[in-house]
Amino acid sequence: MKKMRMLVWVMLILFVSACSPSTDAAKESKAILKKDWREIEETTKNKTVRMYMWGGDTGINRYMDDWVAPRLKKDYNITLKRVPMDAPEFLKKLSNEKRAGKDDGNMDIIWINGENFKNAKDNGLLFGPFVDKMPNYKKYVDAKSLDIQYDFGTKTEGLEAPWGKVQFVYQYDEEKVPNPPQSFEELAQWVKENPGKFTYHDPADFTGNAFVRQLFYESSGNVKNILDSGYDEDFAQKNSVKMWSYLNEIKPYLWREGKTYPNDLTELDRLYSKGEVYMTMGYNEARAEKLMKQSVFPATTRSFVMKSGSLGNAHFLGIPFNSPNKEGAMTAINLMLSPEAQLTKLDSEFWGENMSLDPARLSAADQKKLQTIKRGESVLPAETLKKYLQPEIDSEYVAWLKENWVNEVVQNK
Amino acid sequence: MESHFIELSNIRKVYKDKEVLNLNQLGVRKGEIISIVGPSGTGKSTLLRLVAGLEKADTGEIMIDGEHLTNVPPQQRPVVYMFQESLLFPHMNVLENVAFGLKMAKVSKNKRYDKSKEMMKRVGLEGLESRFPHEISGGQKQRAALARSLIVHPKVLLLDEPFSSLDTELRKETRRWIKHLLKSENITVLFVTHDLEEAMALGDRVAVLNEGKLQQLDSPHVLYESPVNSFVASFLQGGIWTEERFIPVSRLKMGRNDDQNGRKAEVIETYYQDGKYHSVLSIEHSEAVITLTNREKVNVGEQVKVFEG
Amino acid sequence: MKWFRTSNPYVLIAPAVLITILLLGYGIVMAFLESIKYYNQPTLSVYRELFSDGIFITSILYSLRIAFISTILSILIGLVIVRSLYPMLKSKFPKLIAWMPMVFPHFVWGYMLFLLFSQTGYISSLLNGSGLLDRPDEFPILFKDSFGIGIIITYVWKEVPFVILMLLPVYEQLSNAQKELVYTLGGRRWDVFWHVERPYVFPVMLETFFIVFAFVVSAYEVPALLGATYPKMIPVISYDWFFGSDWTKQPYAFAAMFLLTIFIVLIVFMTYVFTRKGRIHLAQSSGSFHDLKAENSKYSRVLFFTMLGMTLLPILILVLTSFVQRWEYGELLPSSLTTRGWHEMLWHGPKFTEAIYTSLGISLLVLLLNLLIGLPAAKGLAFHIFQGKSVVETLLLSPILIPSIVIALGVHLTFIKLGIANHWTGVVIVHLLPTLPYTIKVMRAGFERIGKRQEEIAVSLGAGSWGVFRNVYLPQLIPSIRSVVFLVTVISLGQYFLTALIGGGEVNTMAILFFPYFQTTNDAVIASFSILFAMIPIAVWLLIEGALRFIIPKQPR
Repeated sequence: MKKMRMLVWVMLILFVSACSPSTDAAKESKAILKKDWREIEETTKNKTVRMYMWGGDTGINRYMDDWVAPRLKKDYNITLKRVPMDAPEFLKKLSNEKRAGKDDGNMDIIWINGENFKNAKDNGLLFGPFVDKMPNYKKYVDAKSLDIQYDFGTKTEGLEAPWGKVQFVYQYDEEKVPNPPQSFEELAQWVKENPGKFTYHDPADFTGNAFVRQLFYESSGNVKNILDSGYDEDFAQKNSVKMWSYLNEIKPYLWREGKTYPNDLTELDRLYSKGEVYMTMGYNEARAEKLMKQSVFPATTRSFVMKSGSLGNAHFLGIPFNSPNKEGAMTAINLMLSPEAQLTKLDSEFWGENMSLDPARLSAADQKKLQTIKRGESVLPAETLKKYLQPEIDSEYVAWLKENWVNEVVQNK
Repeated sequence: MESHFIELSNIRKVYKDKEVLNLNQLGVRKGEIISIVGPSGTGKSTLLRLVAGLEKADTGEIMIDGEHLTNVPPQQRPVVYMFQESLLFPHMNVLENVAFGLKMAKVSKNKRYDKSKEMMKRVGLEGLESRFPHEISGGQKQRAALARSLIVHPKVLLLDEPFSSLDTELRKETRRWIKHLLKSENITVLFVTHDLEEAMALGDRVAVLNEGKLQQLDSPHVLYESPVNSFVASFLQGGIWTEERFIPVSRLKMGRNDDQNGRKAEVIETYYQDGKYHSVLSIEHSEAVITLTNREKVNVGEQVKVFEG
Repeated sequence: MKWFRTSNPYVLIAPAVLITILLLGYGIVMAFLESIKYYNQPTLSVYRELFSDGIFITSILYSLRIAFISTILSILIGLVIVRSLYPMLKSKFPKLIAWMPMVFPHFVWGYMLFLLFSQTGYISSLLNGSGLLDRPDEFPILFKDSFGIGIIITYVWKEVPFVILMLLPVYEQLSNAQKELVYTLGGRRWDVFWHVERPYVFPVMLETFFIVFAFVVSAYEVPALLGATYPKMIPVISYDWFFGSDWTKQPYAFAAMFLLTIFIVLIVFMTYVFTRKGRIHLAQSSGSFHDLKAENSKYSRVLFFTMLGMTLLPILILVLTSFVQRWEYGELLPSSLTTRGWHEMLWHGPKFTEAIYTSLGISLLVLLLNLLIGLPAAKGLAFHIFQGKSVVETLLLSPILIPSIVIALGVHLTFIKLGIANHWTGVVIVHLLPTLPYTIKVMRAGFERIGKRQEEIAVSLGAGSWGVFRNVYLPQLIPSIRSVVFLVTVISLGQYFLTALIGGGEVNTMAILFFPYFQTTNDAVIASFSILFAMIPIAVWLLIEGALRFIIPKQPR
């Protein structure tokens, strides 16, 4: 009995103490935002900045460890520690810390976008608005453009700084598919002619969802219609009929006759790599380059976009509310938004991903440099990409599509 | 009242509401070997475990050599316990087993091995030092276990049926030299057994226990000739009680069923040994069983009369 | 009164019980509270919704079916192997072979089997190359099928070694004399199994069944990798609710996992209550002394080599894969080789070294704590009968029956409060959760084998608690300690989620550094990381083995 009583006490104490947020942190944050940039840079010397980011790509990791980290050390004497962790996991950690009233966390920068940003913002996990403090943001980022003001339909409000932009493209093997489809109709045609050689993966996965989302745009006529209506289930219901019937129509001709789908992009890529399917897809127009270099993808891999449009989005860097080194975080983000950092990032040796900066605002020398960077044969020309670019929609549609896909397509026998 | 080397008084032990031991008084002189007998489950082993300190009595006082032991932990009691099986540590060789107690007493390695070798010589295990327990015979194991117990020079040795895992011949041989050894070391011993012959042969005095109580503590001769109650008499099979009087076997004779006097009995077993027929008799209207000798053979199942004569 | 104090079973089990309650209690309460909190209103609507959701019900039944089949198969195969090979498995090398699959994390093993047996896998490719198969789709579909064959194969392959680890000590202590007795009484082989082996083996089998079953029914990695799109196993659905973009779905994850947990814990508790009597008799025997010379059966050689093959084939494939750059389907040899995977690893340089040291340090500390807390508890459970023993047994086993996402929230909040989140101390303590139950299990069997009489002799000869432990128990517990070292390091090293959450990125173990790479498409990279990953527990094992040899120079078997 004694033990039980003790246990109850321990729990009570934990419960009570878990509900006492302090306001000091809020004051401190405000004070930081009042400092001018020189002061911010100054206070950050000799400190450590911990950046939490998805760590599944060796090229991205190498960019961080071999280029960004040494540069930060050299210019500001900041030690950058990259912590590989998936966004849902570090957000879980952050929200638990918020709940426990822990104002002195250990994360300084987080790499987020879309639904993760929405969750972080809605739960007050972010510090800011801070973007306007950073000289490189003010100088090179087109803050008025929609894809920077909105992140999957959620207003960014200066709580996150754009780090890069990517566009959704399809990869195919030129040797096996001489004439890639240009539209969803042509794709359906091709799928029927080549049964078992195409599939898309579960929309529970980010990329798989993007594929279905593009079809949703087409199904509802125009992306403008969706953007105008905001998140609306009735609208989704009505305008998704065409999409579901399309997906059900091609289903029997998919890989494994549509009885099952790859669970994630890794699996789809593996199928493509083994030649089981002839096409794959991904949210980065240059992703095939590295994979070809590693001989994971066949050397004859090229990419295409649908004439009806190709999704594009930006991904961002944010600062947690309880970052112990917010000044350092801002300094580091500012560096990552420098033209030099962004141009290096564009190099497919490292990452090969598009800049978040407005090319028009770069200096003449940098613009010239940009012209000379060869992104590789599998990457579509910048004009083509830009021509078909379409914005993202409210991130709540992502969840809606994911759930309804199971009911409408998978369960449909 | 003489002062005893071991003195137990008012010992009581209860297990799950059942009284397993209740001793008013038990005294043992120095150098004495006390055999403890009684039906199984009467608390013989419990008594030893209490003395060893492996269990704690609910009430009562245990004294050895004038020292109160109730609050002394088993490690520090001048007592060593030996189990039915030799229970040598399987992961140590014989020498290490014998030396164990000295190791625990922090005796230096050389010294304890020297002493152990000497002790092994005394118990006749010379040359087996580096064998492991599973490599020696049952008798050798018991000798090793004894050597292991004696090497710490205990004031009291507790033997819990130490011979029960040996065969008859080996048993007899072992008990002889053990008695010799114990006597020459002048060790005080409590010896639990269920073999009456063994109890009588080894013990200077024998304690008879029943249902947790001490019935009688006397020399074998006294026990057989004048048991204090019918339980002791029938347990030892030493005679019969008639009209509140005990008649030991040595004064009993067997007669035919048609004899006038005497008590009716049935022959339940017969065997021939040492030139005589032995008949095991169950006395009518009592639990007594006795063995009488006879010149003539009687048959199992036959009714006979038993009388004093 | 030291002796009496330490012989009190409650004192012996107290540290283990307290730490388990501390780690689990708050976590479970929090999980339940979260599950009834929907839009901050207390309600049971989540449960109601779940029970009326056809997909959820299908998924539950599907999960239970897969878990049941995998568990039964693992146990039967493990039993057959142990029965016929236990004399052989006593020596170190065969034992290491039998245990080898355990050093690979589950999804690595699943991935290896996928490389081997998928429609475009190595086997299919080999058959095609040698002209026995025309097209890859003629190869049977073993993965991502709606029956879950691939998942079952992976689990069985992976759990059989665990079953062997659990059952082996039982067979090592079985008496040969009893077997012979049954033969002389006219019994057949079946009678021997039923009357001699079953009473000892059955309780352990039952316990193993629950451990494996609970694991399979709630583990995420394998079904996420090899499962079909529909139906999905419960853990996959729950993880999606838990980590998914829609945070309002979290209560569903807690509710689903909470239900599963309660279900399993209840069944285990009932089993302990019902089997208590039988176990008491077994535990009270004074500990049989090894009667050696059990003989290998006729087929043991064949069986052993089958097992060797089953263990080595996937590992060989893994090693090969780590060097393959491109291997076209149907070609007998890879068209180009690469050391890129290994380069990728070496490139990590200092991070990599740091991760190895961190992992080693943490697993050694976890091991130490396990022994400090687990040994007394195991002894208490082995030698004492006391009030509420079934409850204690269930409680001490429950950490491995409860999925970590259920308790993660509570544990994290507690640790933040205690100031040990984002610190290695927190990680070490949280690693006790998935390891301590195994330690107690294994050590308990070890104590039961030795019996309590030896301690009484030693005490009577003047040995104190430490003397008894050091001279009597420790040397004879070496085989059990060996198993514990192996299990604890493997489990501790494989912890990703709990380490990431509690360590918060401050504690960079091998799992933290390398798990993200399993999302790449580059097989060479994945394969070389997997091999490296598996080498750490083996290194720890060798290290401890050396240390043991140093402490206890002589080890008769």
